[in-house]
Amino acid sequence: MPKIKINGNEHEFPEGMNVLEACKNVGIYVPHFCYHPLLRTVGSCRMCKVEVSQNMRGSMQSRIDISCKVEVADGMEIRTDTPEVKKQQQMTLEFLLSNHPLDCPVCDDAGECELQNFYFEFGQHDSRMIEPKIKNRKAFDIGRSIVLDNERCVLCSRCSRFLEEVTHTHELGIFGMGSAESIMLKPGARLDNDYAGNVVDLCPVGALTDKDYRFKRRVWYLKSTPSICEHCARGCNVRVDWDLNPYHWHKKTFQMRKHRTEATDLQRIQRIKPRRNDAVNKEWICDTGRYGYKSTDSADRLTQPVINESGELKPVEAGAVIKAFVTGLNSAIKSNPGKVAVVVSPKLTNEEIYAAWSLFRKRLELPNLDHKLPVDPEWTGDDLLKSADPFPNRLGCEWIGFVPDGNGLGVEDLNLAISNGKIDTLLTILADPREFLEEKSLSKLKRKFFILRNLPEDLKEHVDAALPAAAWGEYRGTFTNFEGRIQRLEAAFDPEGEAQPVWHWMIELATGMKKSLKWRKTEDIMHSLSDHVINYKNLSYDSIGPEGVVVGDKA
Amino acid sequence: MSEGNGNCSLVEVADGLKAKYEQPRAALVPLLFAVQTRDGRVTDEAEQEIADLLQIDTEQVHEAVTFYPLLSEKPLGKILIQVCHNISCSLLGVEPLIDVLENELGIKAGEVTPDGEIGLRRSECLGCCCDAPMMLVGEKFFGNLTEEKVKDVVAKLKAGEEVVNDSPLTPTNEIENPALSGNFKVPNASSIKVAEARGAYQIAKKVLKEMSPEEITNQVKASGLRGQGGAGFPTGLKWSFVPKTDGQKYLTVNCDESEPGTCKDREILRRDPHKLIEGIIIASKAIGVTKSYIYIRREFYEPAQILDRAIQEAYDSGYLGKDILGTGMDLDVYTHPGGGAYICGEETGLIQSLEGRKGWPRIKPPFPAVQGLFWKPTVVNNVETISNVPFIMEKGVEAYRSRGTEKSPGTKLFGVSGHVKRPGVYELPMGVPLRDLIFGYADGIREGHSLKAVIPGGSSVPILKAEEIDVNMDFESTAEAGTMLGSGGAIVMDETVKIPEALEVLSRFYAHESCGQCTPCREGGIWIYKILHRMNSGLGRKGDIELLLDLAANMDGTTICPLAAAAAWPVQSAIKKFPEEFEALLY
Ligand SMILES: Cc1cc2nc3c(=O)[nH]c(=O)nc-3n(C[C@H](O)[C@H](O)[C@H](O)COP(=O)(O)O)c2cc1C
Ligand code: SF4
Ligand code: SF4
Ligand code: SF4
Ligand code: FES
Repeated sequence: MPKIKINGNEHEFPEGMNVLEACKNVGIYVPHFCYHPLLRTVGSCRMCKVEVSQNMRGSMQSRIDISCKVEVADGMEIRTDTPEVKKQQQMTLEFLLSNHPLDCPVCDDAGECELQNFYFEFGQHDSRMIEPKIKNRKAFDIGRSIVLDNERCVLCSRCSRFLEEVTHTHELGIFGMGSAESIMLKPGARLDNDYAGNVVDLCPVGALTDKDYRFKRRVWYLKSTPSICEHCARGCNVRVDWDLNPYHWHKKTFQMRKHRTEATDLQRIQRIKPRRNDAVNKEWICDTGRYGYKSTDSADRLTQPVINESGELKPVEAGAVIKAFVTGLNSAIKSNPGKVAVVVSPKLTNEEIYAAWSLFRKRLELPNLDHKLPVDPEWTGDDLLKSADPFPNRLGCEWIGFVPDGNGLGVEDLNLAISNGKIDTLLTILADPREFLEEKSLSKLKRKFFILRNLPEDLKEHVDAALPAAAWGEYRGTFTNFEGRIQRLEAAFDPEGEAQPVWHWMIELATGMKKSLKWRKTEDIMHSLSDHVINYKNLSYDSIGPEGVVVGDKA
Repeated sequence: MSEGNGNCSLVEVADGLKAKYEQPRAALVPLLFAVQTRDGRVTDEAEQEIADLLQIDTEQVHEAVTFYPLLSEKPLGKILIQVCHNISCSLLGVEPLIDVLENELGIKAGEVTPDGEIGLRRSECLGCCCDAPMMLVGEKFFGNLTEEKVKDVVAKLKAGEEVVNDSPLTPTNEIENPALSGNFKVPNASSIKVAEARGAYQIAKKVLKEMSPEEITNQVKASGLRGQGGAGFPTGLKWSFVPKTDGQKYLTVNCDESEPGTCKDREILRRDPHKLIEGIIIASKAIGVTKSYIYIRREFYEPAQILDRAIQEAYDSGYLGKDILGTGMDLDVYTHPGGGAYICGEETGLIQSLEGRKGWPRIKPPFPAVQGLFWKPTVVNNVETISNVPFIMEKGVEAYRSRGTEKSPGTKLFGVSGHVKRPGVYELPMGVPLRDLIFGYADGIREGHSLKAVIPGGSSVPILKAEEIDVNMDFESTAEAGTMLGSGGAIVMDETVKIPEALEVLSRFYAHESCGQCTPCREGGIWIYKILHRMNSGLGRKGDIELLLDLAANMDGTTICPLAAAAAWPVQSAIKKFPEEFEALLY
């Protein structure tokens, strides 16, 4: 491994690493625009200059070069702090700002804009540009979710390289030549591919903004929590950016855009951003994952336990619903445990499934447990990230064994079993039974219990009693993705109202049924899980770490 | 450069073009010209059509259409008049002529007459500086323009009459034992019969039969031949960098000739194309290539036609093609049109352009000799460089080195344009005194005027004042004098010239020609131009000179290719040499 000196200190780096990454590894940030570790290196913004000294024919020769392109080589000496380096960085910024509008006060990117940040750190000049700036397109709608402001663009080509190299869809290109060039849609195109949102993350400035986030919040109000996308079996690593204070509105735009509803003000999740994990999603996510957070704060959230009293759902104490569940389940089981079916969504975490399995299979020995919800026919996978399986934890369900036992019935048997009276009691967890039951089966059931995050209006008539479940962003736990990678989700904020994570309701239910489960937090469940299910052997939250670990036969 | 005609479907044209290249995408620019000729512009549908034919994305097609100045989404007019407004033409009064054209046509430059017949456009340097002022009318050339000529052409166009080339032979000289210009004054030397009668292809025959590639390369190395495209890199050494493997390699001949003040390669193409072809044959043997491309700026319509004809003749006579002259060597030579962008003269910009991309230069390393065209080892040489090879092989190292200096041996084609009596292209030994070039060969400054300044080697090199012209025109002496030999095209200015105005013309050129990749070049070039334009409009401000120098300093050596530096040097040198003229513009 080559040894090089950076600002006087010697370090070792792997062969082939560029100087920019090497510096980053030792905590020295070299400012840059066009370089992105997951895209082809073009070396065009000229921002990442460093001084490179190398032995050439017997003597040390120094030059200023771009750190994104130069690879580490034994004996090389790098300086990031010389006056010439600073001067070139400052000058590059001055060039970039020469035609940049003074939009910061109204720009979404303010606070996380690399141009703005570098300016404060490396620039700080008074503008010497007195000629009129080049005028260009502003607030141009280029796709379902993306808005382009050409005046803010620094022409780093990250967005067009992403669309060329990653999605191969080429919607954007740099058209024109020299100072007349600008980034634009190719004729007849819209930026509507399934991964379009990523260009906003890639854009180092506020040239590409997300309609979903535009004017919502200043970025400095946001808090971030690491999580895992729950919209398919890939399990992309994401960051939930949230803010609980509804007064943190973009004041100016609040006045400008009166049509904003109160409901959107009260959204806690402001946006989803990918986290880098080269083994899973590089640094990309699909638009389903990016905009799929809305159900957490949607108007149909179930936030209180409810019981059906003569045709109407009434909010009640949780104890009352637990009692109804316990009574109902007990009497069904007493007549025949085979009369009960429990269907969970593969959206549950490993901990929740294990808790449910521990209660229903291990303690109550129910045969008819299943997780195989039908797949939405609209959903399709692709060969970039999107898995053909729209559930984040199917493998977890299988490994833990939330499946029918020997003679048990599965989801696909239920319509028949209900019609011929074999099953009369159904508990569904995070699943809308209409997805797998015909209307007549649903009405024929004697007892229907639900644990739900959202309760759509038209489902209400079918509900006898329901417990509110914590939604994505409100709970922690782990998912097992399609390849057996266990990854951790963290809770960003507390559950809405009286909602609780499913594992919590399982403990309450177990207690009600005198089958106590002795866990107090998800770590405890993981501990039991690792003791009892072979593929999770020796796992703990610590050992899973930030990148996740692959277990099972794919490890 | 077959661009198809009415009888040929685009599919057939595309198939013909694709066969020339390792990758079909390389056919992009020629195909775009074919549809532009067919439709009068490039439509979105045509972009789609071509994308399908070449199996690339329309975005990649659209990038090329919007990048290359010669391609247009808007109608260009059935006949397009392109007038050069760069330095040599502007020194000789092209601006009033553009006014005349605008008046006569009733449109502004950049517009098309309402009937869609005639388009008028300003153009950057068209590589014909010694015939300045000049314009292209469709594919026809008009040099040494006067108001009468311009009016006459417009009248003919309006009357629907054909116009014919008005391209008198550029003045040249006689030199004993010429290496390059021996056939320049021979009528019809572009015909292979005439050329052969004067000895063309004799030395190629001999070399192919008798010499090994190493022997050829060594002889070229020993001759000390240096690149004539501007950088002066030793040619034999460049050839020797090409890996000696069996895989595909390429020789690419650079005839983009777009550096203002430079118009020498055009003379070789027009007046002795077989010299170039013979040089290509020998060089190809030395480097081990079987395919060679000549990248010609498309505005060289007449020279390209002459060259295409000469290539065809060379095929017909067995000098090109399979098993040349029974020696077992195969060689195909193709011409490829440029899109009108100066940056495609830079060797990696040229390669990108040949591959059907925007002419965005590549970061070096890798150097073309290792990874060039289609990422294969490639030698890029200037037309004049390659045209020297037959002489070196025929007359030998001694004869070549008997002229010029130790480090700049041989002769060279020197161009002289601007305020001289006899602008022209002169073959002279390297090291010829600049004074002799201007006052001897070019016959001195125009009547009643005196010399003020010279840009000795193409627009990029530092300017010299009248009292500084006692410099020999070779690489070392020019460097000692604080300037450069460059492409050897001297631009001469008399006392009527205001240096800040001349500089504005040059900076407009560099701002226009930046490929747009690098921040300092894209933003700095246009900024410098705007400042100069403002100063020349009477709105100069204190601090402008310092700002110009600061911007120039930060463009020099900070970018991917040297264009940004080439834009900076004229600014630095003009301000250094003529500070009082700039200071006088500040208020
Ligand atoms: C901006 C720019 C424009 C250039 N234009 C030309 C040109 O028109 N013709 C040319 O032969 N070389 C041109 N060059 C030089 C080429 O990059 C290259 O050095 C040359 O073609 C090599 O050939 P030679 O070694 O035979 O001179 C240009 C270089 C730059 C930086
Ligand atoms: S829009 Fe953003 S990502 Fe795209 S080129 Fe401009 S600055 Fe770069
Ligand atoms: S690919 Fe799957 S896991 Fe990744 S963001 Fe999209 S839906 Fe979520
Ligand atoms: S220096 Fe200018 S012309 Fe050269 S690559 Fe950079 S932007 Fe393009
Ligand atoms: S990050 Fe290195 S040149 Fe842009």
